[in-house]
Amino acid sequence: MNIIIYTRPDGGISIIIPAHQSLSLARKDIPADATNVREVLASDIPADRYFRNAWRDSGATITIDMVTARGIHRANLITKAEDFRTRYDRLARSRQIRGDSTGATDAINRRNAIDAINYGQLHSRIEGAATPVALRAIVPTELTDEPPPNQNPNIKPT
Amino acid sequence: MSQRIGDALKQLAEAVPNSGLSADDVERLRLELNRLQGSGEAKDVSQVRGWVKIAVSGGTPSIVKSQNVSSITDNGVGDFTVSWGFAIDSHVCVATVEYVAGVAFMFSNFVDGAQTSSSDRVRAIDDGGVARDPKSCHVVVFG
Repeated sequence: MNIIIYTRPDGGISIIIPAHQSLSLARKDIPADATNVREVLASDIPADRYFRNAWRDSGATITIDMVTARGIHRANLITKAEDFRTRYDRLARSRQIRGDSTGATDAINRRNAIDAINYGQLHSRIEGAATPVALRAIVPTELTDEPPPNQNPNIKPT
Repeated sequence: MSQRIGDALKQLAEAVPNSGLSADDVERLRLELNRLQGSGEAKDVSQVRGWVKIAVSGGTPSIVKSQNVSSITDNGVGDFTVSWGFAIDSHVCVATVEYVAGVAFMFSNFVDGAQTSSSDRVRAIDDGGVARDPKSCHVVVFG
């Protein structure tokens, strides 16, 4: 399928996907401030959207702007750390109220481990990553295992 | 007018299986008629003027099903513009998103000032306000 890509004034890429595969109708949807407008195959678009907001059009292929990509990865790691911390906190309380002191201690330890991540060192590693693949691989071990789902304290453990 | 032509084409396609007109052909012709007429097809303001279901999987979002849509534009993570096959200065747009696994809640909102007579820009965000690609996004417009 053919699609239209163009560069916005902010440098990012927008991709027009025509309805009913009709490029002639979709051409009216190209904004006046679009540049680098070209038609490509949908298969030319990267399948992985993790760094979608860092995509740039070189004129021949879609590349990833590393400065923007580092910002995306930083934001994602921070969001993940905050999310995991909250979930371990809830998990600890949920286990405490069930009388599961061992499980509660484990959850508290995992939450504390997230607090103890050396974010300064993480920054240096992110800055040093030369490729998108290397950048994405930078994830502290404390953030690799998903916390278990929140447990409802009203449900008796089996 | 174009509604009647569209209906007639649809009936023709259904009545004559070998007409060679697919559902996509009929919709494309109807959109082209709308564009040439320079207006939407609905005459009653309470009618739905257009709708679309967008699925996000892999690199490019896709249109699962639509009516009166000329295209969708992927502007980035959780950021889509729906371009309609008509132009109405004032219309009402409603959007909702289907959340992805691992995200507690997702919401849809509109980009401030981005509504034009023939398009609406929708964003999908999670409960932390972070832009996320939804599993799917449904947009309906009245006018």
